[in-house]
Amino acid sequence: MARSPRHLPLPWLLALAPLGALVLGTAAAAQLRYAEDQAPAIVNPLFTTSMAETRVGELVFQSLYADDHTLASVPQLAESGELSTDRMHMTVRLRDSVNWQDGSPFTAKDVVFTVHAMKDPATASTEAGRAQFISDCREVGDHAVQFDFVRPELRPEDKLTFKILPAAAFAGLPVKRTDAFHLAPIGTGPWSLVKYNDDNSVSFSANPGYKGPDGKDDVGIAQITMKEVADKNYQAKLLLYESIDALVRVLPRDLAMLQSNRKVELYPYQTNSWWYAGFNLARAPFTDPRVRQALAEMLDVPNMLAPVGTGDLITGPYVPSSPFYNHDTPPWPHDPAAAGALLTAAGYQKDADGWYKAGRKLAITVSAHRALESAQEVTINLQSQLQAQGIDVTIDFLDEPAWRQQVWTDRNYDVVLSQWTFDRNEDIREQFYSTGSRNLMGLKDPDVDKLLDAARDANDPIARKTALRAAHQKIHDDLPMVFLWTLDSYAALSTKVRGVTVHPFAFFTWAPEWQMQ
Amino acid sequence: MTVLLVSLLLACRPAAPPPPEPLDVSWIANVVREPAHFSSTLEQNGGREAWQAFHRGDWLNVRSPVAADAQGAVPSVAEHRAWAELSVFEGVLDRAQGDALLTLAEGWAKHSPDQPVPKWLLASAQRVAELRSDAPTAEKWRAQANAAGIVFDEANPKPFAYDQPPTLTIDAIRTCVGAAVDNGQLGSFWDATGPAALQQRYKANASNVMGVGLPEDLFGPIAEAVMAARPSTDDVEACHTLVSGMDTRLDAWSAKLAQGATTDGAALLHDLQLVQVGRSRTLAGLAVDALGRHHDACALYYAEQALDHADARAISPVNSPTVFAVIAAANVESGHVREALDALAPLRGAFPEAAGVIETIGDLAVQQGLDRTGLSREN
Amino acid sequence: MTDAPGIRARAFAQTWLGRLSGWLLAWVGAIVLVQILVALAPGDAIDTLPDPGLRAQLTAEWGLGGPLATRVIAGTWHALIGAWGSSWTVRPGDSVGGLVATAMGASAPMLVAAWAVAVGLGAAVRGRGWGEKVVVGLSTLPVVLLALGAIEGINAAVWAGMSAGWWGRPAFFALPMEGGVVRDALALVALGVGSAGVAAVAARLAEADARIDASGFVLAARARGMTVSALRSLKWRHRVVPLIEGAQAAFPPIVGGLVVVERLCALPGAGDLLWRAVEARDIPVATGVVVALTGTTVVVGAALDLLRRAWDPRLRAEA
Repeated sequence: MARSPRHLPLPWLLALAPLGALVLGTAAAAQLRYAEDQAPAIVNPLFTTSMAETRVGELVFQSLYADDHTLASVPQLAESGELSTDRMHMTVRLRDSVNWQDGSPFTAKDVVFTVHAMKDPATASTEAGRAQFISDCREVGDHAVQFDFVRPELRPEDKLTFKILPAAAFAGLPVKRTDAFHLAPIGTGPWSLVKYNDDNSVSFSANPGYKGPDGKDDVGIAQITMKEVADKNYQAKLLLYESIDALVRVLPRDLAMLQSNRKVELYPYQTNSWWYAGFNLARAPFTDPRVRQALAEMLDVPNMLAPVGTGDLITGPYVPSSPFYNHDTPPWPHDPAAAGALLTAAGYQKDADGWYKAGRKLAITVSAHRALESAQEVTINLQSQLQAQGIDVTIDFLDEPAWRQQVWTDRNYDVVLSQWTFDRNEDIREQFYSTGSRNLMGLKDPDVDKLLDAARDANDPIARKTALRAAHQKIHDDLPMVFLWTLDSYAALSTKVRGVTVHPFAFFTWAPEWQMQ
Repeated sequence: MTVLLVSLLLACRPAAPPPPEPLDVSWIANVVREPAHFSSTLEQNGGREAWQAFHRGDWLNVRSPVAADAQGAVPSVAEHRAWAELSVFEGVLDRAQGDALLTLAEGWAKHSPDQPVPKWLLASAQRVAELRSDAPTAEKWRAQANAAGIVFDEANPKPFAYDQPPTLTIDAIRTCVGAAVDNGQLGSFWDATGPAALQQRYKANASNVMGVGLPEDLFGPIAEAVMAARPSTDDVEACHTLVSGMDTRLDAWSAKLAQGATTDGAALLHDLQLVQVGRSRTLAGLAVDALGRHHDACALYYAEQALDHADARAISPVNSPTVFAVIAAANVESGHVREALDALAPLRGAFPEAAGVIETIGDLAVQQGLDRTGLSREN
Repeated sequence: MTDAPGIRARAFAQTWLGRLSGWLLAWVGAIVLVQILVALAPGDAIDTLPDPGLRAQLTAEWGLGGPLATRVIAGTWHALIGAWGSSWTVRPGDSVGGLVATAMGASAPMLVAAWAVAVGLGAAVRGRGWGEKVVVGLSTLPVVLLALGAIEGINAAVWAGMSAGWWGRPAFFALPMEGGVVRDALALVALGVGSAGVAAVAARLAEADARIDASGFVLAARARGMTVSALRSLKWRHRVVPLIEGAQAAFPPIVGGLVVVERLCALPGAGDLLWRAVEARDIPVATGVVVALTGTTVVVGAALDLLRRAWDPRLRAEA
């Protein structure tokens, strides 16, 4: 006889299971769990494209030189270095006690292989630029390498900071990003990658053979897990909930919540970021500087910032605390009347419906990356401000591939809302030089180029500072973008993690010294 | 806020009964219990506006209710308290600037070997070393300065000519520093000794009337215990344990405080953020103390714990200028020069002499990046 | 008379050929569609790689330079013959076959269990008044709402209890980050209830009940004094076909809901892999997952169809 399905308890049991399990279990075991917006697809320093990959690379690999706690370059895999008197060559002696995580010894072959792989066009390494200053390198014995430079170098150890790979793990050159290495990467760093887990997390365990600089061979934290949490709004909650122990970047609006929790500590981190609304200088009507200025003066920037969090308004391509920031440059005033006059001068006429020129209404599309936190609030505010002044605004949120294609490759956009983050060198050359690879707006100003050249070639700090402050003013005047603001940037860690010092860019550089309570 | 404590203690102590419990010995408890008395005390000791300026960290604008320039005007308690705070603050700024300047000078040959050390830098390095009584360093830079053709006026220890010597009033210093602008030529540069001179002046003025209040007065036995238990080495973990213990006790203490508060007292407690301000000032005191003992890591830890990170870009009742200065000084000392500039940014508009400090530390940050390649990323 | 078996065989063959070609068409259509959709979405897989040298190299390697039609035809052919190649961006270099097999293996228990929940719940609540209204009402909510609501609700409730000191931190807390039985159960309920399967099954059974109650054989059985339990058993024999039809209708929405629920509940599996592949424009992986998921749907549909016909002689006769 068939049993009546209405007596089946399974669905009801399943529905009640969460409540029943409320009383089960305790917190997870002691290990460092940190969150990333997106897990790295591969772990191979030759093909690093994201900060998540940079951070993982810091766990697994080492470089010849690395930052010490005072941010000075000190030997890591190197033992010592000797620069020739003409500064065109350097012999680096390597530490002879270091082994790869598979037990094989680290030698000069590995260094030479890494440099050649980076420079090999067929490898197409994303890190190739970091080896451009090296013209060649060769082994000088098992544990010494000689580098030849393209031009005289003052402190090449400041540039010999790229990660070193094991030559024996590859079939030879060129290296391909699909080589099996990325599935089981081998480094000399403090942790080894154990497994890519099914839930897209990545597990690491302490490398028992780790040889740190200055004899510091101990790694304080035995296990690290990188967890992918795509929803950035949820990351802070997970830290409060003790489901993760570290957050590499806190949303400004979460700062107050985390600060008031005694189980969390905040660490200032990566402050050289600024937001902008950039114009496509190759596309009408943004070819006309009056239109750009009019749009800048229509915007009430402090009002746009309010829902995002506390921050400082900026007038140029630096944050106000930067030595290059020009404090004499005034912001564009919020002056709708003057903006209207500029549009009129540019040939636009206003009727009840909006601004028109040659029968066409002034309408723009604002593109923003979907992953840009708080972009929604900002763009909606921007839209309502401009629409109130007679300009139609369409918002277009793009995911990563679409953003790359439309903004980076095709330059198919009107206005973009985005953010740049710099390391402490705050080098804006690629963003504003005429031929810069990141000059997304398409700015071409010979004066700016000259100033950026002067800054690059300056060999004293005053000259560089002076040139870049002038560049700040010039770029502000050119108005390739409306410079918006800079926000506070913090990392947050559970108080269970002790001895924390966070590297301002690579985050995990000093993590071997961290401890879990 | 410490000033509030001291003044209130001065005013209240004679009449106050012996404290039956820890709450009673703290001035915050007195404020909460007797808000009316608190108000009248404020009026008697400098005027409400002066105390408000003091409370929000606007120490240069703490003024007597009578005209400041009136002949024979007696400075208020609030003003003296502001001077006391300023003397500490300027001392920390001087430390940061001096460290940065000497490091900048020392690093010049390494980073810019093709460029001679600028004259202003030679002269400044010599002067800073001299002020620090570091004779060998002073002599080293003096020799280089002499070789570069700089002649020091021994009768006047300041080798740099101002239009007129600073009178060390706030306005005069502001003018003096504001005018000292330049492109690196001797005679026009940011005054490297401004903070040191200001510190002396403020200290002298403040000590004419009253001593500096002790932070333990804020929370009674809690702060007293914290100060007594501060670690003797530069051990951040020990500092963390200390601060955690303080916070735990403070949480319980403030909960108890809120229970016994009058309506007006509770409003004052909340509106003036008295507990948070008191906590911050206690930590600032610890930070300055640690900095003085060259415990830079602990100084940085205390100061960062003192900050209200949700509004870390502005001077406020919780974020006192001294906290920012300590963060800057400790970061310069530990090589995190760019981070020091972040800490100093809120001081730029509020304290004219800070502009010179920022320029010096900024030069050092630029120098350290001369040989590096920059990285950037989107979002 | 002698032709009758031949006619039946021919009719059977025609019916099944028709069905098979329909299923094949749907399968191929899904494969083509996913490739076109991913290819037409702004941005390609290479757009996630900023380096120009690498982009040029990979554009050639991945065949992204050719016309869309050629790419889709080639991709479909390769998918159908099992030459799925390797992943571009989700797990660069990994075999798509391996990735998909692992993911399908991870999803299979959830898929089967959620399907069972949908069918079981639909059968359990049919004709149960408010119970039916509530469950069927819930079942009309999208999976996304159910899963999100449950996650947020449980987290908020547990956190409130922890903050009030009522209990310590449970191991499953902070859904969906912590794995385990609670998360799996939550996903299961959300997928089973929220993919319209419950409503489909309940509706078919309710309709069948009405038909059965009004049918002559029930009236006759009652008139002859058949016991309630014997009558219930008799009725269930007549509910099997509607139940199979309900199960058949419930399966495709559950497969669709899998993508959402795995993503929201941070569960590894085919749905999650498809989501990632589409986000990263990894066409080989997206195609591989769609081949597997639609293939499974077609096979399950066909198997149930056979079962239905095997159970009911009238359907065999129709064929």
